[in-house]
Amino acid sequence: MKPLLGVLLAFALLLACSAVAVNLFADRALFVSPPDAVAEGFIREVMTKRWDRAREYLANPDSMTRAQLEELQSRLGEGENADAHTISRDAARAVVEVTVGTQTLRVALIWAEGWRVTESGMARQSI
Amino acid sequence: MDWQELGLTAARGLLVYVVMLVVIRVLGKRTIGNFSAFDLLVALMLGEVVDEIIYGDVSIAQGLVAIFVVAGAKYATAWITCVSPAASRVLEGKPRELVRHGELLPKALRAELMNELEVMASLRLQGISDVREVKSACMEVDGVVSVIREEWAEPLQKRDLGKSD
Amino acid sequence: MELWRIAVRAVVAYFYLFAVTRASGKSTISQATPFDFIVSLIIGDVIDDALWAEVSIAKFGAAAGSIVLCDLAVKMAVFRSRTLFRLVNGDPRVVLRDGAEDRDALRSEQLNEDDLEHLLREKGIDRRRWKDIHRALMELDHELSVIPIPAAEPATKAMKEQLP
Repeated sequence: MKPLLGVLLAFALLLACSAVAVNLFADRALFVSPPDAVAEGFIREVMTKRWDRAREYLANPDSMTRAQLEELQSRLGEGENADAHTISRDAARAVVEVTVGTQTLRVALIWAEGWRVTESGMARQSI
Repeated sequence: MDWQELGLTAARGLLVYVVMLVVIRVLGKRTIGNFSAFDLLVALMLGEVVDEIIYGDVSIAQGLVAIFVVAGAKYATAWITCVSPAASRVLEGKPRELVRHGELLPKALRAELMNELEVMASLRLQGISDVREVKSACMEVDGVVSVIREEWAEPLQKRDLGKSD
Repeated sequence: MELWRIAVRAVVAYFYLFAVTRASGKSTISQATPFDFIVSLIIGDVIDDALWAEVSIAKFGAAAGSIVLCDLAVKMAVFRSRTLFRLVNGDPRVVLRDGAEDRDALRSEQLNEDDLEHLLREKGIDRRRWKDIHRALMELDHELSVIPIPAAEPATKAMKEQLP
């Protein structure tokens, strides 16, 4: 019995550290997935046409229609690698630049128990 | 703190553990220890698939299919190599003699990409300091060098002292 | 991603794994059976996503923790019950009896005749010496253990003293 409790205790300790870091010290990039990792994940799901999984990255899953996602995918293609780079980040908002091949996208995210993509990021694009 | 996500992750961990337990038992003892390069590769492959399932990057159905296909292929090759030694030689390789009656065989060493120092080191690990004690040393398929000693270099046995019990 | 973040996550993950494996007792780190090896592999894989922050530290904790907990639970159950031990780990199996191979046993251990010869050669026993083997067993960790006939057992210095 003691070993079981020991493992659970270690896990509880880890959760406590994580909670303290995020809630007390406003950690947004260490104990949790940072905005660039989240943005990269979102773009990758779009590029591989996994619409439902891409929606899970959105702050509001209905904020992008299937047509909009497909349009984004056709712009990006599926072969390239997505590289993300955080432009700005504070406790509640972040902006990430994602490079796919020769294209560069700007993705805006908000913090809601984890970084989530807001729609407004998709419209702007620079080559 | 997304408790639901944590709970799901832990539940997938449990599922994956049970599945792997069953798969490893069915695949048999060959999965570790004295395995060939291919056995290790299969173990690594299964580990990689399991990783994706736990974190929910693939659906459970997809992950289980991948596990069963890899495990099934491994089982099939194990069965084939068991039934046909010829197939085993093709799939897993053949042992190659490196030393015969105290003499290193240069062509064999070159084929196994071993130099003299490595061979001597392997012999030393078996407690042999003089290569003349070696009747036959082979590089086995799992990378171990097996050594058969000359009669006169064998350790003493009870029968040599006239005892038979 | 800044390098120092990766480093800090690696340290956190390392200490967490250290804590859970120590808490669960030494038996969890052993590699005696095929399954222990796979569990180590899985735990090693699970760290991967945490380092690059594909998942949060908390999620990694749940993943690694659940594997260790399951392993622990199984070990504790198996420790108490001989039947469960054999169910989970299998049995050692005699593959050679008095110099003659047991074909059925070999097949159930997924060995062909070449394999048995290889394993015995690795023990320094070539075909001429097979008659000196009383029993050869395939153990749980796929090692071959060889029991010689009494006359072929190693001689000890004490025995030499006893000679007339």
